[in-house]
This record gives sequence, C-alpha cells and structure tokens, in this order.
Amino acid sequence: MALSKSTEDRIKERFDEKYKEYRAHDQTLSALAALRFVLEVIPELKQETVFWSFRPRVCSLGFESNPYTPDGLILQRPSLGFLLELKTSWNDHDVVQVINYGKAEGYLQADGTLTRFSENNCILLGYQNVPGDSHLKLLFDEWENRKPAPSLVLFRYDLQRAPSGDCMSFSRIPYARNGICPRSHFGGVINSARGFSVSAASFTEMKAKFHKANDQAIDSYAAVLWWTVYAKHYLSEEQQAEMAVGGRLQTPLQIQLDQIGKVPVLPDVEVPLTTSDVRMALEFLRQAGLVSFKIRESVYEVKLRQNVRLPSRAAAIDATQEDIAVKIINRWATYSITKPLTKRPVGPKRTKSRRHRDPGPTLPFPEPL
Amino acid sequence: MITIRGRCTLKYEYYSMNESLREFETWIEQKAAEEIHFSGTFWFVLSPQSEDRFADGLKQRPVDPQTVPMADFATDVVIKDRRDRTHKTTFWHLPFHKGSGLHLLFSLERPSRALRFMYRLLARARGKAHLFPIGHRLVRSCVQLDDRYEFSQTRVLRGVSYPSQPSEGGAEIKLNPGDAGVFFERLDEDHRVLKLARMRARVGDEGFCEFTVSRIGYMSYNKGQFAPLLKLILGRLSQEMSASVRPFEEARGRFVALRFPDPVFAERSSYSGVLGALSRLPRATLAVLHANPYFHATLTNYEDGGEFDVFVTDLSTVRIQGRAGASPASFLRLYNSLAEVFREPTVKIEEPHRFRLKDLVEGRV
Repeated sequence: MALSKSTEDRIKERFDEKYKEYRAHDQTLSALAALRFVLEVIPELKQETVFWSFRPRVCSLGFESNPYTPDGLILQRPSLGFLLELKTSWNDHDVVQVINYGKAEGYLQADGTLTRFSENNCILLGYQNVPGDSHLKLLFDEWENRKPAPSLVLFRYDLQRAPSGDCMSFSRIPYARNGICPRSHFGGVINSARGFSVSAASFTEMKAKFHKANDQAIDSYAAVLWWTVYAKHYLSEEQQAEMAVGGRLQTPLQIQLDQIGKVPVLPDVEVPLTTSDVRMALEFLRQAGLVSFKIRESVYEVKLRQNVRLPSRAAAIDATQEDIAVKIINRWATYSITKPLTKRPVGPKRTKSRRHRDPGPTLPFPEPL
Repeated sequence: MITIRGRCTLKYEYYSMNESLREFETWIEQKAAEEIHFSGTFWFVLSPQSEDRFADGLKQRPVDPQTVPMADFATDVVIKDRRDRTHKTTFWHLPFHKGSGLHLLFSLERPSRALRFMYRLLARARGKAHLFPIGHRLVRSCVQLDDRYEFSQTRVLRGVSYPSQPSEGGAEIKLNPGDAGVFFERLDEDHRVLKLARMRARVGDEGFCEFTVSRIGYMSYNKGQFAPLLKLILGRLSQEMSASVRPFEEARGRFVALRFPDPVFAERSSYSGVLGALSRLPRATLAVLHANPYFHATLTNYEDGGEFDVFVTDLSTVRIQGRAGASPASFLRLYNSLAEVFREPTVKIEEPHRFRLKDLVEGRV
C-alpha cells in the first residue's frame, strides 16, 4: 500500500528529530569523557583532586532517600567542590534543577551517609547550545533570589572539527552575571578566557565508560546500547551458541518483568544503564517492533538477531542504512507513525482489581522515581 | 616424549620426527606428480582453545598416519546439495604448532571447493576457531623460499587483487604474471588489496616450487620441491603469524591502533568504508554512536563473544578498544575486515598519554 506523502514526511520528521537527540546525547557523553580524561591524565589536576564521581547523589540533611543526581561531582584540595550538570539546550526545568543542586548540603557515600560540602562550592552548568539572554537572565534572577551558597558558572561545550583533529572544547560563557570557579588548576582552566579543549584522540579513551549521563538517558540511545551491548549478557550458553552459529535466536529471548532490575554489570563501564533505562530501552524497542510484551506472562520477548531489517514502509533517510542505530531508530519512527502502541493492548479484559495492580499497558512497570 | 592432547602418547625423537617429515614430503611430491592440478592445502586456524578442546570442538577422530603421513587426527565434513547428494571433504590435523594457538589443517581438495567445507567445519567450534588471514605482508614474506635467489626471481603466475578504499576502481582484476618485485610494486603503487597469488619460486640448484597463497588463510602446494615450502610454513610464516597477533594478546583493555599507510579518512564519507567493513562481519552487530566529526561505533562479535569500541579520530588510524575477554582471534577478525577494504595497517598498542597542565592550557591535549 502506498503511503501518503504526509505519512512519509511524518516518519522522516520523527526520525530526524529522534536521531538528532541521539547524536546530541552522545556529544554530552563525549564531554563527560573529556572531563574524566583531564582529571585523570593531567597530573596537576589529578594531584589537587581528592574525589570525583560521575554518578553522584546529592541532597540535604533529612532528604537522603530522595537525592538529586547531577552529572558529576569533583572535590579538590583544600576544600573545593564542583557539581557538574551538562545540558544539550535550554529547558525551563533547568532553573529548578540547578537551584536544587545549589541548595544540596552534601553528597551521599556508597553506604548512604551524607558528607557535607565545604563552603567553597560551584555549580558548573554546561550547554551545547548556549541559551539566549532572556533565559540567562531568568536563570540568574532566580539564582540570586534563592541565594544558594555556591557560585553558578555556565559554560559551553562543543565538539569541533579541526585540521589537527577533532576536539571537545569547553569555554565559560561571557555573560556579565556568570559566576567564577573557585581557585584551583581545574577552576582556573574553566575561568580562562580561552577555555580548554581535549582532542577526540584523547577523550575517546574514556568514552566507553559512559553509557549515559547520571540523571539522563535518552530512550533511543539506551535502546541501541541495550541491543548491541547489553542483550548479549542476558543470553544463556545455549542461546550464545545459537547466535554464534546463525546470528539470530530461533526462539525469542525472554526477560521476566521482575528480572529487569538485574542489569548486567559490564566491566569498565562507569556510568551504565540502570533498571529504569533498561525499561525505557525495551519500550523503545517494543515500539520499533523488535521486542514484544506478553501481558499474561509478564515477560518481554526479544527477537534478537544480528541483522535488523527496515520495515517496507520505512522512510528514505540520509543516514547510512548499514548502521543498526539508524535502523532501530528508523523502525521506531516508522511504527510510531504507522502502528503506534495501543493504549489498551489485545488481551483478556481486566477486572477492576487487576487494573488497580497493573500499572498500564504501554509502561508495564511502575514509573521510576 | 611429547604428549598429544592426552589421548595417546607418541614417542617423537628428533630422528623420527625428521623421518616423518621426509616421509610427508615424499608422499606429497608423489601425489603432486600423479595429478595435473594438484592442491595440497594447509589451512591456518587460530583458536584460543587447548589442543583437546579444539579436537573435540571440530569432532576430530584419530587417524592412521598411513593415510596422510604426520596427520594425527582427521575430520570429515559432509554437505548435502539441493538434490540431496552428499559431498564429503576430509581435513587432517598436522601436529606442528602445539600450544601456540595456531592449528594446521590439511586437505587434498581444490581450495575453492574445500572452502565451503572449511567454513562448515569452523562453525562446529562456535566461534572459537577462525582462519588466520594471510595479508599483504605475510604473502610478501612467502615469496622467497631459498635465500640464494632474489625476491624478484620468484614469478607470480596468477595474482588476484582489488582496489582499496578510497581508491577508485572496478571489480577484482587479475594482474599479468611477472616477477614478484614488479608485481608487489604495482600492488603498492595502485593501492590494491591482494586476494590470492600463485607463485613459482626457485629452490636449490635447478629446482622450483609452485604454490598458492590466499588471504583467506590457506596455502596450497601445487608442484615442484615441497621441502622449502614446508620449512617456510613451519618456520618463518608461523612465527610471523604468531608475532602479528601478539599486540592483540597484549592489549588487555588498552587501545590497539591500526594505522593505514595513507590518510584514508581525509573525507568523512570514508567512515562509511569502516562501517561497511565491520557491518559485513557475519554474526556481529555494529551500532554507530557518533559519526561526525569523529567516528565511534560499538561492536559485539557473537562468534566468540568479543565486544569492542571502534574509533576513528584522525586521518589514517582506526583505534580499537576490546572489553574484557576479547580474544586475539576476535581482534584479528576486525583487523582483517578493515584490511580487506583499506589495505594492510600496522598494528600498535597505544601508550598511556603523558600531558601536563601547560599542554591543556595551550591546546595540545
């Protein structure tokens, strides 16, 4: 059946939007990798840094059970602290989020105890696309109204192409009300007018450590990573052999709903996908027609195979078709237009009590907190 | 005394080993003399498995060494065609490279016919055994069988090659026969990837040896004196093969840099060559995480479970980071796939970076 032009356009538009988001998210991970690289490899920065984490949990006393999750925490001698948050572009929620970070009194240790921040703190807020003056004014007005103790420093991060090699550059935004980092080597390079840059040849060394930013995973990115990296770790020995010989599973991989929390631990990955990210990934793949959910059995069925095909009605796109990421996102875009997941899936009529138990067909698990 | 795979113990004193080799040489030369188009093919198989597991995985059975002298085990591979007719090929195991990860199998079929059977055989190992690709450099080192003769005194009787990316060119061509010096010079100048070469090398006072080398991972003896070829197979070639996988064995999470002789990634569009080369790998999934400006893809090789991150960050280098457990054979699979498209790169494990704050400030990190 020939598709109307408008449907094709809608698929293409949805693909473009999703793929843009996918690429932007990867750029954020590149920036995290670059910061991780300089903290580890530049001896002056390494020596002054006593602790860093790209999965920190911060909160105020008494709110330990509901911490905030900035993208990074760097503590330096003698008593400096940097809370890091990276954004693609402006969002109105940024103001509340950043103020919450600014009001946080400390960070949680692995055992859940709160360690207080020193008074010389700074919130580092990075954007790929620098917000306009009106947004900056809004942000700093609110910041000054609420008077958090740390300084707020906005910077831009940008992946640049250069003849000598591609690099990630960081530069403080030249806005009159922008804050200043505390005095340290690390603070100094951010404060400097030129900023600093890290070549792709360097930061890619750390890139594979980041599968997401601490508080942010993109469904498309999580889905692609889950399909290509994580899925293998769910396979039994027999299923692995099946994939090794034929490149596909004869019978789908089944993941019980109550098993989703057991995300495989991958060596060398510092910020891996979490339970809620895996749920999000499986839902994305469900819409892409690569995963189905059996309500009666409460089980996801994954039709794992090496070769992902595009649906016949997929829109023609510019990106290369050999790439599984492109294929998965294109499948998602196509089916989300032509066959969107129904609000109420086919299955037995549910009773009231069951409906009460069941959190819903499109998201068959509790919403993450 | 050498124990072979714990199944039987055979006494191989040096004398008897040499005797066996001589017996093998005589046997194969006689076979070659009896047939016009003879191919005694040596298949180089890389496997991390122990001798025992390798033999079990391939379902090898002990054989009487009278059939093929030196052979200790054999495997029959049977394929049924569409008309339900069965075709069989036998591969014999030659116990030369014990403990090295390199296994030598031998067949008497034409290699073009035996190849299908070989892939079927390797499938039994479930990704734990791969043919060892014989790339450009290794083929070059096969040219001289006797030091008394120059490189160019070996004649290339048939050469099959195709253009490497990003060079333009059509399908594979057969270069005109000629001396090896001219042949390899032309390959280099035209940036071509060598697929197969049949050569005639001078040996001894007036002798010769005719043989075929394929990048797929085999070497066939065709006619002439066999001893120098066997010496090459068991000596220099095997050593160079072992040396070429050593960086992959030593990588352990560090980046392995494959540096190509030319700036093949001057155009971003040439990333599609990397993508094409790696996505063609059977039983592997590849997803591009970033393609502009630099290239980052994640790859899972289901054949043996190897997981990799692949980066291109400059004009001539592909950098591969294997996660824990990525085997040398799995690395080699990626290497070969890229070498088939972009010509042969040099392989090096990257050293840790050494930068100072000054480098960061001055934009050199």
